[in-house]
Amino acid sequence: MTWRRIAPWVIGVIAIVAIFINLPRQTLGLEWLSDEVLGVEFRTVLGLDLEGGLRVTLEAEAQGDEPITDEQVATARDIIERRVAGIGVSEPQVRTETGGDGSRRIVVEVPGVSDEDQVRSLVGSTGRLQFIDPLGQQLADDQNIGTLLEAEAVREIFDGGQIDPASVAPDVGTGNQIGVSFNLRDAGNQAWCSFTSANVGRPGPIALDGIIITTPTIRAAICGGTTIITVGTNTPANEVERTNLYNTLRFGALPISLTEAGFETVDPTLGANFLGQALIAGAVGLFLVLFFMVAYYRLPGAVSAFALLFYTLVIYAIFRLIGVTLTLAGVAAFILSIGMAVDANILIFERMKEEIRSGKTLGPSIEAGFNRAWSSILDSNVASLLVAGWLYWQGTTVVKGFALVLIIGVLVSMFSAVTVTRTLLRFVTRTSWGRRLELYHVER
Amino acid sequence: MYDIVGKRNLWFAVSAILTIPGLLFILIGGLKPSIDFTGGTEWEVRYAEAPTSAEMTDALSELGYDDVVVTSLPDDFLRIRTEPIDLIPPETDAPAPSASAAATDGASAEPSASAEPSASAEPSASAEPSASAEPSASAEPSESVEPTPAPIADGTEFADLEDDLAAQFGEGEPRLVRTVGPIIGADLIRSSAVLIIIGEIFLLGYLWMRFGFRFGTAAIVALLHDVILVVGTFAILGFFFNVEFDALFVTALLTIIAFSVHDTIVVFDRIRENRIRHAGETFGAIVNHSILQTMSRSIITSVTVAVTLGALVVLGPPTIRTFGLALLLGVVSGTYSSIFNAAQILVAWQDWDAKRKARPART
Repeated sequence: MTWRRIAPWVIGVIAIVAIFINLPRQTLGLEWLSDEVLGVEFRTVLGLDLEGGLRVTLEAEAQGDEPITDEQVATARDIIERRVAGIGVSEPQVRTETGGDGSRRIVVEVPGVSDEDQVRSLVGSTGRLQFIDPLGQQLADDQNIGTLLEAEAVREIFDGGQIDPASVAPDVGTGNQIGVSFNLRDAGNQAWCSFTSANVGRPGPIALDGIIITTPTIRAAICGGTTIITVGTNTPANEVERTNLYNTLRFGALPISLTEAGFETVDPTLGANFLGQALIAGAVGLFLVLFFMVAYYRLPGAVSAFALLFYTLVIYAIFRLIGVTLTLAGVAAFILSIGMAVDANILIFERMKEEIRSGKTLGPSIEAGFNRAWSSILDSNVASLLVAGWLYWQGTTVVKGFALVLIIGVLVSMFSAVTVTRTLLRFVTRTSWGRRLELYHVER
Repeated sequence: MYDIVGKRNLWFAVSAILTIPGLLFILIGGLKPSIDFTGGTEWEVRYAEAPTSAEMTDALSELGYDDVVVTSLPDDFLRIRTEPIDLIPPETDAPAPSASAAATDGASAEPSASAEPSASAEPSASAEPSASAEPSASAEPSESVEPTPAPIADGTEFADLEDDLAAQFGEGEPRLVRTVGPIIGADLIRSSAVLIIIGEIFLLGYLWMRFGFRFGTAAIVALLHDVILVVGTFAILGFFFNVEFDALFVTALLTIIAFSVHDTIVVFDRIRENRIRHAGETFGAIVNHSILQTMSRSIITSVTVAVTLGALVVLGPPTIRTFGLALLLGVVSGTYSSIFNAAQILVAWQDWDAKRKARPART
């Protein structure tokens, strides 16, 4: 009984909140209206296929026999995100994925137009940093030491993973000298200490991806504390060099090696076309369903049409609220869900008609329709949720987006088709015209 | 009252006619996987001189790309599909060394490393003589190696190809480029199979729990009917019209599975209810009632879903038309199989069971 009283208010509040979230602020000139409440921003997030842009998929490869850890992948993800953001790309999305065979991937999405080759080479470069013991070899800048490393003519002392990223800082030394300073982690410190102690006055080269990037000379044994690499006097050319060195030391060292496994570019105009077509298809589909329901079921059909509009409103609000990325597949799932959302209504109304035909009066028939249809609605929706949940749990990104839309759709449709329809019908049947049987389209 | 159950052998025959051709085409390899599964590069482009697909195929063949598929699209666009090209290669492989000396700029100040013995020392407090001038890279022409060329410089393979084609056909206007490496493709096949099979096992478990062994099994058979019908139709379309199935198609299949079971449950739920209410009647009669009672709902729901999907197929973007078509087929098939397969299997099973039990009693 109490729920009966509260339900209209709950529905009203949800509808108002949904409208508030959905209001297209820019089109209506309502920019003054906040689109952020309690730190949650309302925005429609479009996927790459609708917004246009570039997607690069990178596959992680372990260095040596050690398996790749979650932490390494997360670190690589962060580094790539900073690199991409560093070249002024707006809102890059970098996320990690696990393939069906357990392989780890990093997916970079850059919306809009950009220099794709620049982005691709930037994210793809592993930037594996190595501190090299030349073992007496003379090494020059830009020299490729891949073969020397293989032949063990030179030796890696430790890799860039030993640099404490937070400690890397531009350094202004004495006498107008500029450089970069950094600290090492424990294991690196020990190796660095024994190497520098034995090699004072000799070079301690650093290689990035097997290529020597700098060959500083060791001034003194460095056992713990800060290492400073001095670039030279404070000239514009050296400043550029210092920035490069800083970036390499700070972000350059990816803990894993990455191979490009796929990429995709979509022209933003094409994406906008797709979005337009999908929206038109959705609007036409919605309209046809509304029309059909009213034409076939009359008064209850009109009530379910309201419930369906409520459904559409709430779904879109949820998308904006939790930032569901809308891809073509997601929009397709949404359109499909419009057709399926009325299924519960159809079950209820058919049941209602049966009860009226069997001689019951209107009020009890409506209640019986809802009560008897409930077990089918519940069982069938749980089955759908089971599949959608499994897809969401195990699917790849595209599948996940589709499944999430389906899950939200099923949950909201159970509320809109059952609670909203029932509450509205109760209101309507209080009036005398709302009880006229011909409005229920029942052939006795 | 119309007797649906009595004609069940007819319905089984209809289902066989609907599914067997598709099955045959699946077996003879009618299914055409898209680059999502095989790996490859696919792009859509139009050129100022609007070459035909045959001209494009020839041009690509001259450039050394033999294994290509070129399809004409509206507005002079062509869809070109090749082997995967232009993936940035793995970087770890060291190139063969060349014997030229690395030129070092002697004029620039050489970097130097300085030490700070105490961990707490401020970097600026170090007092080392910083006039570093030890050219560590001495002139040693013997063993030094040329650096690797940057993986993506000006001319990638794809960019070169675009230039070559533009030289023949005028300025190009690409709108979609997609490359899927072989790793991802192979993985997708595996993960799709796992998704579908385990998804069905979950459903079977749920149905056994809620409706019992027989109902659950019948629902899964009906579901297989729908999956085979849809996959088979795509095998036929692939065989004759080169219609491809892609990653979205797998998603469509899973949705069809959900819808099919959803539909079957509605019918089964009514059978479950009627068994209690009409306890005296034969099982066949109960199933017949239940089907007729739920028939209008089944048809109307199919209509509403078909209407929305129809709008998607007709008006929606071309890239999801096949997706919409698969869903549309699946939904119609799902409704059909709930009534004409799942429910009929229950009756046939019951009959067979009754006969089997009757036999030992007679002898």
